[in-house]
Amino acid sequence: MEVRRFKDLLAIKSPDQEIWGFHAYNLDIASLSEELWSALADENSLRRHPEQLQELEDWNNEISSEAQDAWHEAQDTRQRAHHKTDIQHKACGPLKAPKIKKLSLNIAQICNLKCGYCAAGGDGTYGSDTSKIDTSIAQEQIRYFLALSAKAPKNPSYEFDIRFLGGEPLLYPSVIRELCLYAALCAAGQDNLHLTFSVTTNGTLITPKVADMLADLRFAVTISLDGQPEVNDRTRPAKTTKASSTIMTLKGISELQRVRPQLRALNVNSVFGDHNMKIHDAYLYITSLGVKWDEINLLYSNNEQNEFNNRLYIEEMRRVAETAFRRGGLAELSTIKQFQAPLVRIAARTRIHSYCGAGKSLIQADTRGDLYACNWFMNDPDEKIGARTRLKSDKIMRYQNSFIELNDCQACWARHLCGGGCLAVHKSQTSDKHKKDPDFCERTRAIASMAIHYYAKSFVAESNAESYTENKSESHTKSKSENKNKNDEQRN
Amino acid sequence: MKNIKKIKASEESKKSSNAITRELLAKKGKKPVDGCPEIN
Repeated sequence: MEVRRFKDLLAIKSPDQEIWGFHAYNLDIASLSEELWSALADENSLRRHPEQLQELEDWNNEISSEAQDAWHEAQDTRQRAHHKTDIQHKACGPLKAPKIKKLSLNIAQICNLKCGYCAAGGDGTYGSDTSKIDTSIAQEQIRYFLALSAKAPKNPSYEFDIRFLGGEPLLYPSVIRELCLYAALCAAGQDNLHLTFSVTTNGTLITPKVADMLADLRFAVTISLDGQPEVNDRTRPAKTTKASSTIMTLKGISELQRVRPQLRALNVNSVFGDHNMKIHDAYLYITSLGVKWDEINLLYSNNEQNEFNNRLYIEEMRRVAETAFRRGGLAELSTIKQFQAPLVRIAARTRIHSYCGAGKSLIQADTRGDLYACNWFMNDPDEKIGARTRLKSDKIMRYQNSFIELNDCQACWARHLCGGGCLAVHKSQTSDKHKKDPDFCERTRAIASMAIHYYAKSFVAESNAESYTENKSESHTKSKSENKNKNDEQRN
Repeated sequence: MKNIKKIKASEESKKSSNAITRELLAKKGKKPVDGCPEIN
């Protein structure tokens, strides 16, 4: 996919020679002429094409009222200075307190697998010696953060999700059940609260009893699986046995399939990097399991920058997009989490200002009850933002600004599809969570441009199909009436 | 604009746009909120 840029506009030329335009602020998509594409070759070329230049200027200067900001910005009553410059961006005003709507609890900082690429300290512990959650502290946190979210103003109905992570959280299913029932008790009587639960697990410990528990509590379950058995067994081996972890995970998936209608969602996470770059193969395998996945997360995670693999990831994701789109259009493509994010934002014309809810809507607690903005910051003393139910206001307030601003992304065309990027990835690659990882930016922009391409392609295909159907029915009606006239003539 | 044809220009396109939006939003829920596509 070749791209050219004019101020806040992006032009994309697909391998099929289709040319799309994208307005980075309005999230508008257009079909562009070949002349305009040629004019965009360089500044001199633009000067030689005043008509095209004027059209680009006009589109760039438009501000659409159809595009809106994502929820936490939309709810924000702060007065924002609206700078309309070459690079349009809303600058933030004074900060407001976070509105926590997701509490993530680390149930276990220990795991029964030993994945070679484990980002949780290499063994699921995050470097901590406290392997099991302190239930009384977790209950205190559930009670506190639920009450805090209930007090949020202008909140007639709201969702609150409790997410269970590890290590492997299903090492302690009874603790999960106990905490869920406690949360339900705390939420009793709050008709406007929609309490949900989610868990990310390697799936190897999902017995019939555990599956029933997850179903009873309407869990959203995310399974970690890297691909075909020969790959997954290598990348995600069992810690203490030589048994195939893939077989155990597939048994778990089969138990979840049994209770599938009761689950809120069933997702899969696959991690790629130096250890495995066969992403398209993994996608084919995962979609061959007969599971109707709600989300397929094909994420790239590397300890060190690797330009070659970064490009390979982009190429593999291009192949995945092609296959998914061919199989089921945008619906299939948007099952893949990396494409879903930009597609939903384009479809809903909703700008995001922050990549995720870290420190704004999400709080992570480790097994000791220490608090972080994100699970990937656990056990990093610099990133600790509180303990038990006490948040350090100076630390938490630093997260309240737009990540686009904090990470200096105002000039990027993909900023409102990306939201400034993942702070944990930035920190892991640059040692500063607000200093961007260039590899991350490259793959994010590549995926965003693929999403724009397929969205536009699908749109045009549908429009053409509709026009075709209408023309066809018009001509059908015409020929019917022509026949009728002929018959009438014959009768006469 | 001669060289820039916005894809949502026609009524037919608008219908398509809404259909696609509905399809995508149905997947994600009503609000396209912040997610964590890179690491979960």
